[in-house]
Amino acid sequence: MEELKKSITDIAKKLKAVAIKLYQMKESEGYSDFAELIGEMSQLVSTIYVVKSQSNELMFHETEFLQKLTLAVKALEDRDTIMLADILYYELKPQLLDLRNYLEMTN
Amino acid sequence: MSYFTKNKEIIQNRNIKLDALFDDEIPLDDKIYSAVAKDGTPIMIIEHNNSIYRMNSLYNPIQETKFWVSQYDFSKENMVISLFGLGNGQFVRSIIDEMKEDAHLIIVEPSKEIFLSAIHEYDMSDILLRKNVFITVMGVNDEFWSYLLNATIKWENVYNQIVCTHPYYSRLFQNELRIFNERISRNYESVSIDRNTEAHFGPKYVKAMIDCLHSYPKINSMIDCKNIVPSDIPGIIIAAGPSLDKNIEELRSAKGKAVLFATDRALPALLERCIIPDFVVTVDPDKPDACFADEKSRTIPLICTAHSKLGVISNHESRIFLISCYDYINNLANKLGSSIPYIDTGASVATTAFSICLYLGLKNIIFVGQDLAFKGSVTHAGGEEEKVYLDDEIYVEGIDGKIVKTRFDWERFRLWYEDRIKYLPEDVKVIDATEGGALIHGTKVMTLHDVVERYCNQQFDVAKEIENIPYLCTNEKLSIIKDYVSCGLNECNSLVEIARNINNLCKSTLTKIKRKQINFKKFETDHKKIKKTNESLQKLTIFQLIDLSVFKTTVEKHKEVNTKLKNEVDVYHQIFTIYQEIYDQMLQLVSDMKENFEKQLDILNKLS
Repeated sequence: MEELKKSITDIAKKLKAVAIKLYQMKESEGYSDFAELIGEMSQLVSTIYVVKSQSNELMFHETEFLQKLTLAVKALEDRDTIMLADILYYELKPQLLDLRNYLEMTN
Repeated sequence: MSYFTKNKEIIQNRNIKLDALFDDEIPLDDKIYSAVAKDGTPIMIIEHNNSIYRMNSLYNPIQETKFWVSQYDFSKENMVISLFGLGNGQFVRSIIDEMKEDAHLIIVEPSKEIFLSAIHEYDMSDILLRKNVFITVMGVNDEFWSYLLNATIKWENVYNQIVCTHPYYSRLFQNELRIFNERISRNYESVSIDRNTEAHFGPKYVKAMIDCLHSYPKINSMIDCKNIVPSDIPGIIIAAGPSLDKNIEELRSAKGKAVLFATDRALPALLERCIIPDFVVTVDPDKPDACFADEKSRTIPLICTAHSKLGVISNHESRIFLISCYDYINNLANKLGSSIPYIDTGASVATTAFSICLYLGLKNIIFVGQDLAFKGSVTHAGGEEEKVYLDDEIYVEGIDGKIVKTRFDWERFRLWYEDRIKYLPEDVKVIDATEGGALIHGTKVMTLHDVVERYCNQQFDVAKEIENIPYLCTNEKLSIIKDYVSCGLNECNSLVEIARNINNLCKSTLTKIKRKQINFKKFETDHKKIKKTNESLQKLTIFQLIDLSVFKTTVEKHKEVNTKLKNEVDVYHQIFTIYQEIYDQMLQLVSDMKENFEKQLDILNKLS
């Protein structure tokens, strides 16, 4: 579980860093960092699936998370830089932080 | 009161030259509209080429701008921040929050429609009221932008600039952004050239400015000519390129149907043929005497800066109209109840004449003798071959599509024209009737004969209009000039004392250093004393004259100070040596200035 918490914190930090780059219109850097992050987030969601299958108490709406991720990918395809930054910073990051807080409280 | 009324009122009161936008009712673009972010902050949305651009965050636009602005360092002194794109002002506010009091923010908005939408839809009063924030709109007040760049970016702060772009503007306005960046980088070049020019010509400028003080009673500001010429009367700029010989005679038929602006260098060729221009334009303090050798040159209305060639103003017998002066001269004009307009000189007399035509509001501007290229080895009219060291051979497209050879300075002028022409209102035509030389993109190439036939078909008597302009200084105001000169004289007397004291202080410190009597505390106190004296000099009326005269030394010494020294003693040795040299030079300068002020006062006393 500690590893999961660490991984969530790490990805949340990266989401913030990418969002800031995008808000600063450092687009090529931001887009390429985000592309890398997609892989890490997919990996995280898979891990969460596994943890959830073992314990149904884990509060995480992975469908909602994946929907947001899909919106983010669409923003990337549309080159809607600010929208992408908004989704990363105000949607994906808070959801991960909620999960981390939940894990903090329950473990 | 609507946002528009409130914003418009501030714009009109601030005189930031955007009034033209309110002359005609420009309809609002329905592709630019406002929405509200999740936190309630208004945001701007632009539809462009089937895409929707949300110019601000949909969640928290203020936080977004804080992230955006954090990439810039605002800690330097006297910064100039150039922002491409106003948007709805959110990003501007984030800069304002970060910039220091002494900084200037110049916003260049490429779209009239976005600007109008911004002032209709949002309360921009906090931005518009900021004294150190300026908004320019491309195609509306470009001259104001040039003015701002010139006025705020000097050699001292040329490296303290931030150039930034509002999010998405680089996609929406690619061409305009290229032009914005080009102009900013050209300004860098120009500032460094101006720095060298000022360093070189500073003492000459000062002599010329003081020398023109007794001529003030016969001087006017160019502002007095502002509305004398109808906009459909063409302005013909006569430069001294080699092709002038080809069509100079044609100018006779244009006389009285256009305003003829002769550059100083073209004047001898015109006068030799008894073609009298309506104005002569001169700006260079080092123009060859031959330009004004013909006595007739003194009888033609003159447009110049107060720091043009020494003696040109005082020897002139006809009307004189001042442009682009240093503040020392501007302040006197203000005291006389007028002001001298800043005209972008573009570093040559012909480019100055071009800016004058724009300032006068002329819609048809015609170039003659503006080759900006060699004709064989000939550089100027009359077969003159000016010998200039050429770093590199530069070739450009000629008016006939063939390649012509040019020089670095001419190429700079050509690019300057092209840059200006791009942003002229659509009803302003620039016609190149040189009939030779380099192609200036954006001009229409015609023969002078065709130009005269097509555009010069209305009689207009410039001389008569000029005659009716009242002089800037009446007899009653003569005392204002005399007081100004007396003030300069008194300040010179005090300066002698100050300069001697600082000189002695430097000498004594340098002697102590030589004798190894090191006392850092005392050195620092004395250094602070000199710095305080330097600051107090800035309050003098004649400070600008002193600054210009010792500029060269200061520039050279600045370079020395920047070099790394081994220890603290060496640093103090250098500081006091530099100050000693500066104040030595100042003593000599003040003595010359004093003599000149006395001469001016003497002449003015005789006048009254």
